[in-house]
Amino acid sequence: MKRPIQILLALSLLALARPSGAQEASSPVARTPVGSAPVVSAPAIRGKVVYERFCLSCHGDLGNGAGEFADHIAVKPRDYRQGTFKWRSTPSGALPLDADLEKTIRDGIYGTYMPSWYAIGKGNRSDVIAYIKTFSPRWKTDQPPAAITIPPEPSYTDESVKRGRAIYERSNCAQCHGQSALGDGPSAHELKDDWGNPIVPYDLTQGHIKCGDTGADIYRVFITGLNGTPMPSYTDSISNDEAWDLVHYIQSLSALYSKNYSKKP
Amino acid sequence: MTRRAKVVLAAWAALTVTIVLAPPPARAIPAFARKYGLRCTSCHEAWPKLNDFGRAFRDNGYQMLLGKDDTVTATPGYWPVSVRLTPHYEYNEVTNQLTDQGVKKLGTGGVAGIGMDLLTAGTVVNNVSFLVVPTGFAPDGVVTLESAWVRLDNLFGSSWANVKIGKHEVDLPVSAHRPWNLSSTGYLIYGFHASGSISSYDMGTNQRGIEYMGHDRGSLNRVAVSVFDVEDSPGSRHVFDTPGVYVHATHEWIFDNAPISEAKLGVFGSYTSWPTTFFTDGGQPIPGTGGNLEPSSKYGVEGQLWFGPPATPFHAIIVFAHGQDSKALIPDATQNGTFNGGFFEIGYSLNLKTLIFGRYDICKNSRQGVVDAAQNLNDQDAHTIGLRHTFSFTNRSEYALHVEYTSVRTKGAGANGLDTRSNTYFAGIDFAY
Repeated sequence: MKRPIQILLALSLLALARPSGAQEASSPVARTPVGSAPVVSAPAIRGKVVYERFCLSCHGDLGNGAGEFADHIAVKPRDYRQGTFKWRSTPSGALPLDADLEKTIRDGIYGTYMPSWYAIGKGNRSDVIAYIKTFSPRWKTDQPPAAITIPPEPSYTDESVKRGRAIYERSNCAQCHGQSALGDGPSAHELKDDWGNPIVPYDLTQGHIKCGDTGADIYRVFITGLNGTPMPSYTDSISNDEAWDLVHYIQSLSALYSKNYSKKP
Repeated sequence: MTRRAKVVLAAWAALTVTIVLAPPPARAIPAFARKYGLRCTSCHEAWPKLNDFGRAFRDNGYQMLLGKDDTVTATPGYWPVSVRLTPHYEYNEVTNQLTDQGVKKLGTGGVAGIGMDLLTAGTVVNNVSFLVVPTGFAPDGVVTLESAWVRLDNLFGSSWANVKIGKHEVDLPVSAHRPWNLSSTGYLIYGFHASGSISSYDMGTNQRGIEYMGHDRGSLNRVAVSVFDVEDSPGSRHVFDTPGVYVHATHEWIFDNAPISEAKLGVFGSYTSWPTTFFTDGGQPIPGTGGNLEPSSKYGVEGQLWFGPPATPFHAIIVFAHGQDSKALIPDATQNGTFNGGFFEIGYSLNLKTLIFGRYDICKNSRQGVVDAAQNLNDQDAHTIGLRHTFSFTNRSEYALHVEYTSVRTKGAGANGLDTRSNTYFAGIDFAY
């Protein structure tokens, strides 16, 4: 009685150990994503399994942002194939640094279905970053430049908030974000991202910004812009001081934002 | 070859063929998966055991904490209910049973009465989470509330301040409700007592009480304290029925790109009571009138290692505990009964869908309460081996083939003082949606 069961158990194990479909993760020869070079590096091979475990349901097995859940959510998952990323410390149009991708994966994106993957550990995150880079040939031809320099944050004052409000109006921010910054400007319902998906301007009064709540996080968005969205870079139209004033105006919109009340920058 | 062997042979062959011919994985995910659009693999190392991300999500009160946890405003809307069923064939045999025809090995098998877990869980509002699990629904018609609790999460804005009230599983080294094995053989050390003890306290049974739990970001450091009435106690006339307390603390390390990808160390302990005297009616104890509560204690350490890629790890778990039951809990005892035990468990994820698992349990009395009793009386050991293969996991459902063999030996528990050995052969489909 026992021997046939043992033999069959062994056969069953052998049968189960075979790869079974495109989404299987065991093969060291990874699938070639559309429009990219084969996965060859060890981190990318490991990262493929991490991607399939954690990321695939939204970003899709082709990295095109068309996972099974993508149709059900308003803020569409990133399509990695173009090498275009919103949340960067690099200038507008540039590739992000690994540190930028690490920050997004580690902390998540507030108000979206991108959770914080802090718990899975830095090794897993590094590996999946290596794999994400295989989806776009841009990572073969371009190098991300250095991060922009963010000057020290000046003190948050009533005056800086007032100046920031003026810059908000002058820069026509209200056209999308609305007079009260609720994300309800005249153009709010007409905006689309580079992929043709409807995109909604952010409600800045929530007290949370998608990419992080610190003053530096908000400052960075003004200077780098959000690639792939209608949110431009203002690096050529506002000075560093004005950018900080604008940060302080946004911070004035909710008590949840932490503010720099210190006298020194 | 016997007829039974042929039947089992045919069943295994059919299951193997089913696996080989199974369709490619469909896309799809239960309630949390539906709500957050994540695959089962996001939270489960191998379903149903949680991975680091799943543990952190649970510790956060079933929340991602990024503004998308509200049950009402979540898009798409979802109904926080999941169903888990495990239709299966099971053959059980036990040796050295006394019958009129002598000492026999008894065995029986068939398609088991199918029970069901109805799991409803989530958040009532932000930072107020809940879990309600009616379970049973088998042909006997019995339905019990396995879990029913509400938890106040992140009190004062701190992840170190969470309070759970209701019937809950204490924070075990390895959850008794999320084992890889599906036969009725649980982790023996959780329910083991000194030989002859009347206490039925089982660490793996959900308890009615209050739990304090705290953790850091990512749940690398965790501490939990539960204070409760011991479940299944006949009850006492004390102000606090049958009190017990359980404590568990762990620390976890994550190593980047090292052969050992993660390691965890923990300590745990329980101190519980059990009534030893009762008012009686016609000589029979009146439930709820127990007195002279006497203690049982159990404390131990756990160690866990994950080898290889964290996404498809080889996971090794070792748990050791020492316990003691008061002599007042052991009829005819003249000294406290003590014991040692634990288990060693491994799970190897061949890929995201296939898991091989095995476990060895052992519990040995180190001092019998009754001095004349054999030193090894009621000692137990068990071994379990099995595999799970998930055919598909989606944001709507998951179903897996599960095959398992378990054998439990109990010293001196059979006819004429012989040992008993209970063997279970299990094969079925485990699915949830």
